[in-house]
Amino acid sequence: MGWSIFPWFATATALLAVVASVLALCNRRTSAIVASTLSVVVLSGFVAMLWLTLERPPMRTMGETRLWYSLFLLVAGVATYARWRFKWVLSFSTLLSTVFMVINCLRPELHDKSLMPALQSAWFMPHVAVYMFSYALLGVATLAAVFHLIKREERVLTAIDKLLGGGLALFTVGMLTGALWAKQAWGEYWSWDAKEAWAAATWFIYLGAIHLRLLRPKSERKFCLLLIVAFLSLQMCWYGVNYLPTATKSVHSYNRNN
Amino acid sequence: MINSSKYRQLRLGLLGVGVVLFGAQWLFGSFPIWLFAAPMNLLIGALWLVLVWEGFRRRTTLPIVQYLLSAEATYIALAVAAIIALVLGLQSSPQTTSWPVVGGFFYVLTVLSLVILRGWRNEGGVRWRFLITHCGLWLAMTSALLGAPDKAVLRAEVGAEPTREAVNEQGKKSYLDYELRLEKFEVENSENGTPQMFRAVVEVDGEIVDIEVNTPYSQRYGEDIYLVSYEKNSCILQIVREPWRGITMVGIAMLLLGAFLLFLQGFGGAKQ
Repeated sequence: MGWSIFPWFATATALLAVVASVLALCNRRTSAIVASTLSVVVLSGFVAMLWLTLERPPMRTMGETRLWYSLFLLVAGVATYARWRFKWVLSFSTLLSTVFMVINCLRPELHDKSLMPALQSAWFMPHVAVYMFSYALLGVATLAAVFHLIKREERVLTAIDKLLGGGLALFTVGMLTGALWAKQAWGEYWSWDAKEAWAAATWFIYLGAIHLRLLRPKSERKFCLLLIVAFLSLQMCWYGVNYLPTATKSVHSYNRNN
Repeated sequence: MINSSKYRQLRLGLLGVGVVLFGAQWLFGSFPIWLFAAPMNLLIGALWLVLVWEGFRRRTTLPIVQYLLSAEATYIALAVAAIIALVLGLQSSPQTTSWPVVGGFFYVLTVLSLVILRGWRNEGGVRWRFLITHCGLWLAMTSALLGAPDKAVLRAEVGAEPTREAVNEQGKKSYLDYELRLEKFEVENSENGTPQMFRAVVEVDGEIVDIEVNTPYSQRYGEDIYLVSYEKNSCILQIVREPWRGITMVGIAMLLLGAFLLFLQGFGGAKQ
């Protein structure tokens, strides 16, 4: 038992998630939620079994981390779909989750490759998975903002509001779980390294956009432009900071130490 | 409402304060944060709260308070916070105690305080979410700003002999009111030699405790001991004293709750 049976669980999980995605695209909402919940249950079953087999929480190796990514992405997908009914969202979570499961199937050497000590935390996986999801929602909000700038449509603006609310909520959760993790690992909630600073700046710009929408509802153009600026800042936060000179000192530069 | 010429004067006034803050940084160096350790920070915090409360009560006759409650002041506060974040992110050693940073966050907090006081009596569906998120941010930021002078980060090299000695971030020696002694140290290395797990068994005033990365030891409320590194026959422990930690945690918990509510209830946009 253990990783040897993972391909069976991964196949069942991916199949259920694909079925859920198709059902969502066909507007079969209840069936889609049931199928995606089942995919979460199947993968959770494997996590529980691995936990029992290893006799420790499976959070120490790269393979185990990718397993949690897959699970949290499916959970975030079904939660977002159940609440917001974005038809595309289950396809997105299925794709990302399946990518991580396929990597775990094709590269079994990662199952035993330990993470550096600071990354061996229960905060790590939700922190990353929630961020990934917020990036997706905010990315689609930006595309919708560009569309609205070209061709003004009220229903697009309503969709942007929904995407912005969901995306900003998840971004906030990602940022705060990171702060709690940093406190547990290093004793500091926030150390203003390059990535944290760009995350804070991005958060404040999105707060600016949400306040502009509330306080100046007719400034639609400025609102859409601010969303584009915020998303550019998000790109810096995500990968752009790696190219800054200050990144060498960043506590987020794990790959350089591993 | 205040007229546009008053607005112009207030904007110039704010700009003038900004220039003074940069001037102070240039003339005196970093903000003397050590001068504001408890009880001074508590006194200043109380005085600031009284001024904000009094200002809010007299808002109809005070143009400065009307301005700080305006949409423009909110946008400026968020822009100031974003700019401070970016500037700190570009510095190799972030100057979190510079005059413009302290002054900028003080402005953000003052605007936030007034907005909370105004929103307290508002009716409407998202009143509780508004209060939870704004009060959470207020608590987290206030504890970071006013609590900074009371915070201490010390490092101690702990070996087989008991020690009370530690050094602060400026390299100044100080003494702990308890003894530390290394009982045992374990390291697991990967194939390429990088440490994958290290653990110290430490005697803290006679009590044997395990300290690992991500598993600090809480010596008392607001004082935790972290394992940060190790030498050949010793380990490096970091002692973090943070008396305002409880307030920060409540602030973060409220912000998390606010984020969950935003996810569940959604953002209604202009209709909200």
